[in-house]
Amino acid sequence: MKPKRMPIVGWLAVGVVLLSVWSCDGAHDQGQDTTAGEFGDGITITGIPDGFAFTVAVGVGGSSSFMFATADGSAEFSVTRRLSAPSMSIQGRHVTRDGRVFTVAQVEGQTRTVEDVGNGVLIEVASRTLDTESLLDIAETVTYDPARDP
Amino acid sequence: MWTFSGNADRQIMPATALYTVSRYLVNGQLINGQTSLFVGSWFCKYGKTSGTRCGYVDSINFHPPSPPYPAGMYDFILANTQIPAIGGDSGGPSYQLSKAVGITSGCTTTDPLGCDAWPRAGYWNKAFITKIGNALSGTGYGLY
Repeated sequence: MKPKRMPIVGWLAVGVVLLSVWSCDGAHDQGQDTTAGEFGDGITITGIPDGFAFTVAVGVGGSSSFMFATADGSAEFSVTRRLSAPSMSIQGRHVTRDGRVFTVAQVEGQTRTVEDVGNGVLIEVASRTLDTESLLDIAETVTYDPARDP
Repeated sequence: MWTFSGNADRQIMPATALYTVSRYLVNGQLINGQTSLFVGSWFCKYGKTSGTRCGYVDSINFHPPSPPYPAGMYDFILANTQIPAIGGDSGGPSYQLSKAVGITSGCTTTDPLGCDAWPRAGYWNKAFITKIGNALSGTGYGLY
């Protein structure tokens, strides 16, 4: 007996289900930008939100920042690596995600998340335009490799 | 005493046996006074890492971004791409002929690997420089 072929409506239904599963595939996998990857001074960022692109890096003393912005400049954030951090006091609300502790604070008109990654190195994600949750989502995808930090 | 706010990134060091006070920079350039620059002025910078580099002024009232600078800093010289800054250059002198114009503070670059990756094809790097007048202001010191 010849098997019955699935009608086109059936294939469409399967497609909708697959699309639904794909679109629910975890918040961290949504909206990733192809500019994500390795940056200088040991920084890797895998979770750059959709629509943001790297603009410039700025360095001074033991600190270096990597700036990101949307094409129209309406939103921005930066990722900063600070050395000689022991002298800095980190005041703010502590948030733990996946065992990593981030301190969230309002500093100089910005929302900032700060993570102490040890050996006197702080990783800071800051923005004047993004909210705390968005910054934490980015901060969770930032890693620091001292072997890549001259 | 280190100042890292307003219009200056400067540190005043006592002249002790550890330091040689000289009218000559490490690259042999004589310094016998100070002057101010304008947009488009030609000047040179000596950096311990990048050596002697000469080029033009892009801006004379540049506001370094925060972070990594503290918020509200202003009135810096932004060099053109002929004058980069790399780690180790900070604190180095800038000059026009024999007149001092500034002190290297930081850098900005389009290279995602940062300022220290300079030079890489396709990316630029520009130095931020504290004006010598701002560095000396209020200190009671001058350059002659």
